[in-house]
Amino acid sequence: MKRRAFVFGLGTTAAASATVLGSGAFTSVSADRSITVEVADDDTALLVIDAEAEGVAGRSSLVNLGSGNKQAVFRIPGPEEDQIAGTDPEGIGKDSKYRFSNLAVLRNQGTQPVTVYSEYDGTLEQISIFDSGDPDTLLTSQSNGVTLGTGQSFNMGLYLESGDQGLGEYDETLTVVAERVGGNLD
Amino acid sequence: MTKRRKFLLGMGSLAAGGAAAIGSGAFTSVSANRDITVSVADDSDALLALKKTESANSDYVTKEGNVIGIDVSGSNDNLGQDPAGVNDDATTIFRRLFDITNQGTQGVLVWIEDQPDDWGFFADNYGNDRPDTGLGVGSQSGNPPLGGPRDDLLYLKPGESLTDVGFYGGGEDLSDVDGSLTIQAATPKEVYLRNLGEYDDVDQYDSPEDDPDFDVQDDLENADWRA
Repeated sequence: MKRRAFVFGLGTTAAASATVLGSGAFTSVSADRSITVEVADDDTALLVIDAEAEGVAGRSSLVNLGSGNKQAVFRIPGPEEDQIAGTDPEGIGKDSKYRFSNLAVLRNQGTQPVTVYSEYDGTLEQISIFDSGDPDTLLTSQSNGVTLGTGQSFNMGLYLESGDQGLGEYDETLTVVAERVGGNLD
Repeated sequence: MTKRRKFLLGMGSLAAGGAAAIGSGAFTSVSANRDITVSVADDSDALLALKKTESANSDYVTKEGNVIGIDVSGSNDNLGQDPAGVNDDATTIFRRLFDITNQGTQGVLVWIEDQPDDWGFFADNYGNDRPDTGLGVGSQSGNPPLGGPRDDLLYLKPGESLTDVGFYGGGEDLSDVDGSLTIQAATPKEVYLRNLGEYDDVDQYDSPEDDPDFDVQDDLENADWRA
């Protein structure tokens, strides 16, 4: 709640507190300020996750998950795997490490450079994004993330490590993080 | 309102840099959760499928917890005659153990790493000839009891299988093996990018950097790769 108030009500709060501290003179202020926040699809947002620009067999897609805006969604194996080579793979094997290159384009459409990486804390051994041009570097923290200047992009891949999990379908969540270069202390 | 809240929830760290964000119009950070659905499959149905053959020798291949393995020892209950192991000071060949099928969408190079000392895998099965196509890296390349198999990476198109993978080995004073090996598959480009193999271009360039056509998939596929 505090954060929400801080962001949306910043102008009001700042003005009021300065005044209150200085003189304690007025009883109340009600100041209307306009704020416009548009929510965008992943392929047009500040951090673009364009899951339709790349990828095959439906492994990556932009899907309306009910909020009205499209989000990047990844499925391994993709629903259309059989359309490509006539095979019908059911998944990744146990105790296996898979890399799927070129699943989506990540682009920084903000106004300053950001470092992009992913965080995962789920059931499988590991999930991470990587730059398809440098598949060996898993972008698991800010220190080994990819820095994107404004307008810059890279082709994102997914690294999946099944570990010792039993057979089945796992609905996992990966957090894609883009942080201003140098941290959030602006 | 719902929309606005959604925005904030999706950008958990925005508040921390809120002042800067409003002051400059920059975004300081985005943290976005995205869904990934992953199916874990039996080895025989996986994207890189590893499947026991129907041959009698497949009894040496174990299947535990949906993962294949190789067991030539007294603890393998599949072996009716209950042998205790291979002979010392001998060469033993196991043909037709398992198939490797590329069920992915791109061609991949396949090889096996971490092969035990004195043992090697091969991928051909021609009558009674000794295997001469090595599969991947391992000590077998410098210890060629079977005529020096090449340690090539073998190319599999989508849907293609490397059938009847076997292994062989032997020598004097053999040691027991109790370890694991790594079956690798990667697109040619991945092999290049991750420096997994040695690139010997069909066009005779010294390195991919010298080759203006390097990015052409056909060239990558036809290069001679060695682990």
